[in-house]
Amino acid sequence: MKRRAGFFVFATVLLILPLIFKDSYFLTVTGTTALFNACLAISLNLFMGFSGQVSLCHAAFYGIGAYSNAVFTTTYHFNPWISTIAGLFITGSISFILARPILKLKGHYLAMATLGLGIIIHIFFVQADNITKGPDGISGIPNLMFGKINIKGDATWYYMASLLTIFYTWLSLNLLDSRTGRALKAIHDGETGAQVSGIDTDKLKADVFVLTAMMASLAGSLLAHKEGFISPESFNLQFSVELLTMIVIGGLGSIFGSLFGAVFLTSLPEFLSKFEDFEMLVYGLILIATMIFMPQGLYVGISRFFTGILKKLIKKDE
Amino acid sequence: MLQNIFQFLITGLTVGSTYALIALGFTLIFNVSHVVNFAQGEFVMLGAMAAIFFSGLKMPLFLAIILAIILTTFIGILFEKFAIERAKGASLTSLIIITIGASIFFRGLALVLWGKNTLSFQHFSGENPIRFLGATILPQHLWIISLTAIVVTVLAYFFSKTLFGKAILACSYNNKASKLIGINVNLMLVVSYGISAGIGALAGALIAPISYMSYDAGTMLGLKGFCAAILGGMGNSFGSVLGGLILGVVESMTSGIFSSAYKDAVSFIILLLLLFVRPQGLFGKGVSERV
Amino acid sequence: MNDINILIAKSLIKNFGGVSAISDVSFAIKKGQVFSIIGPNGAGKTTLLNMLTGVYKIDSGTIHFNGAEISKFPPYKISNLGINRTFQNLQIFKNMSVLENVMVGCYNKGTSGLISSLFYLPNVWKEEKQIRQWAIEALDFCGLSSLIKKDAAVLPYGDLKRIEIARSLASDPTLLLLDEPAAGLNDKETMELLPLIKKIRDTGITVGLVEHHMGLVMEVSDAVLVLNFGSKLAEGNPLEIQRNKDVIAAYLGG
Repeated sequence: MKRRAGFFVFATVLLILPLIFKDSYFLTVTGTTALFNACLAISLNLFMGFSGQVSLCHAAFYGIGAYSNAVFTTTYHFNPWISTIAGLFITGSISFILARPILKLKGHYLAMATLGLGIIIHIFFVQADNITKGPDGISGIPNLMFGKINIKGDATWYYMASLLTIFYTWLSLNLLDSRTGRALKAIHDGETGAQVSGIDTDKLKADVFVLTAMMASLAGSLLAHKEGFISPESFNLQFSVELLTMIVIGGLGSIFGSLFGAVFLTSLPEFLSKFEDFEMLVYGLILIATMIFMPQGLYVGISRFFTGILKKLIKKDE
Repeated sequence: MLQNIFQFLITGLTVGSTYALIALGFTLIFNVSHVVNFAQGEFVMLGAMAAIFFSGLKMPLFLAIILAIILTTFIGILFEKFAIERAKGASLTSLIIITIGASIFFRGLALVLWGKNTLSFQHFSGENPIRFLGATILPQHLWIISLTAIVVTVLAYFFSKTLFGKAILACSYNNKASKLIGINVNLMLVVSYGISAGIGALAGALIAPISYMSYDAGTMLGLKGFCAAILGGMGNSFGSVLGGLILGVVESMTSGIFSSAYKDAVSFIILLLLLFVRPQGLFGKGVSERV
Repeated sequence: MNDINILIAKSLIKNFGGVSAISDVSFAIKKGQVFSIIGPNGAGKTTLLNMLTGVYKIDSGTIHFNGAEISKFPPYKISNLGINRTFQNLQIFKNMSVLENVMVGCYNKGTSGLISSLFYLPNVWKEEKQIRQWAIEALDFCGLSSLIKKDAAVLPYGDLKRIEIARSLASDPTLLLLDEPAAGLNDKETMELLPLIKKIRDTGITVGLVEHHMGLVMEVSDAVLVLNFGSKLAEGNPLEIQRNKDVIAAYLGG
């Protein structure tokens, strides 16, 4: 119940923010990017945080969604929504075919296999220039339409991203308190224990892999229309790694932690840009320091710190 | 055609040698600490960049290379001391993130020190090609292959014949037992990270003359080394050397015979197929899990 | 009690890298019994349990449960057929509360899938309430009501062992296999285990018990199988086993 209340507060705040910070470039541009990343982080968290697996190819699935819409709308003049469904279908098929063999692996091997898959897909984006137009990317992607309403402009896209984030958060929260969600967490804590409790762990892991890949694909499809232009570098290994760090910094398994991690790491470069060339240096240091001093994540670490102070204050009052 | 194949073989063995060195570095760290070091490629890059930098100071070539190796070794030791050692008992994902953080940090460091430019490095002994069986062989190719062979031999001797090397091996078999019989496990960790960084730096200095270097060139090299290590069976030093050579040759053959566009993809497709069919690698033994 | 065999194992064999762990072991468990498997350390008791529940693949031999062959089934299928178990080394879900742990045990009784859970369709909501109820009942049955809201990670070993039993019971098994439930427990806790096992049997659940604590075994068992070095040494009722010369020799000879 507490979680539900938190969810309504979060959704309301997200939707009201633009009314408070009117015409804020930071909110509608960086904020929208952060929310897109949040959608990816939330979906990746379902796979990694809930079920305890590792994936370093999430950006590639995001890319398949984006490329599907870019290619189908520009080259073949498909309707954007049909392109989106095509993207979901392609991502779903690829992840479905590869899920079982990949998810047999564990730990470092799983990390390596997903990393390899991500790189292969990325190389395809770069090299298959008759389809993807190669390293230069695809431009002139048309606007998204809801019937006759044209979706364009930073503020509109902020709302689109907010709605998608709220939707993904809602899905994750629902899953957390269900038979299937518990089964996922059981897989995380001990696969043998889960199997003996009657859970078909191979199938469930595969299902979640496909589901989260498709969630990434959907976000990618929307991104293509928001940007109007896409190129391979937005979907490389580095971005997969960045997504991974978002959910780890936020705290694995915590939905709001993933949100926090996405917003934090997306806006960090904005603040670090003062340091110019030192940006990467500082970014790397923050990652290392977080893992050493707050291995449970910044979001969890900080919120525990504050509840600790709060408890002390309350005790003093008594 | 046969001449071409011989040419591809030479090129493949050259590139494969550097993969082998990088893979050896991975294996060493993985064995002792069970950490897959995602910053391994950055050691390679740092070694190459430092060697280029020192030789730019009008230093003799070999002094520049040795200084670069020492500097990178030192960085590897600091990394172990200030990051890995402090995160004792952290989960696998945390450790992966720490090494990823380190790789970003090292890239940032190189960016600050040497900028974004792509740099080139002089060949060790000129660029006059040697003609052999119809193939063109650069002196640098020979440098790479022979130095790799020497390093592999020295390491094999170190681990099988010296007490210190054996102590490191003992840690990789059983950490707790090693501690109990009085081996300073922390020291062994420091040494392995140092050696691993040093080998990486050498690989970097070796390959820099034939493939340009920049602050972000380490990542792909590191990943290839990673593929090689898995190909040979994670944790198996002998296997990782062979894995590196095989990967180099297969890559060079496919890009020569088919197309170079998908050269990088080949390594990863091999990696995926191998992981599906034989995750313990070509030369690794299967491990059964106990409940 | 009747004479129907609920589980029949024939000529089971398991090797680990050439070393024989179980060699040619056959036995049958009768419905409603408490069937104990005993033997010195390393006799292969846990290995046998792992084979019965599909955790280990068997090298040869057959296992029939309620008339159906389950020899090659994966653990989850065997579990869904009605065999559940606990673990000697515990397989508690450490990031969950006690209640959630036991709710996982009810997995086989639910039907909601991934998609309906994501959208929290009305059937999920209903099922969730029902599962919660079942889990609470199972915890009550094991005398753990006071721990419902606790996090599993903070509880002592003895409690965790009981929580595992509750989790297994929550699946309504027809055959419950307990892997050394008394190991690591103090005398008081062990003595509390005795009535619990009897209570479980009295509800009609067949119990398979792997145990070192002879007092416990002799008190609750209807039939006992003795393993030594992976082979069957003896089989019979507790009294017969206590008098069996081979068994005495095996235990005294270590």
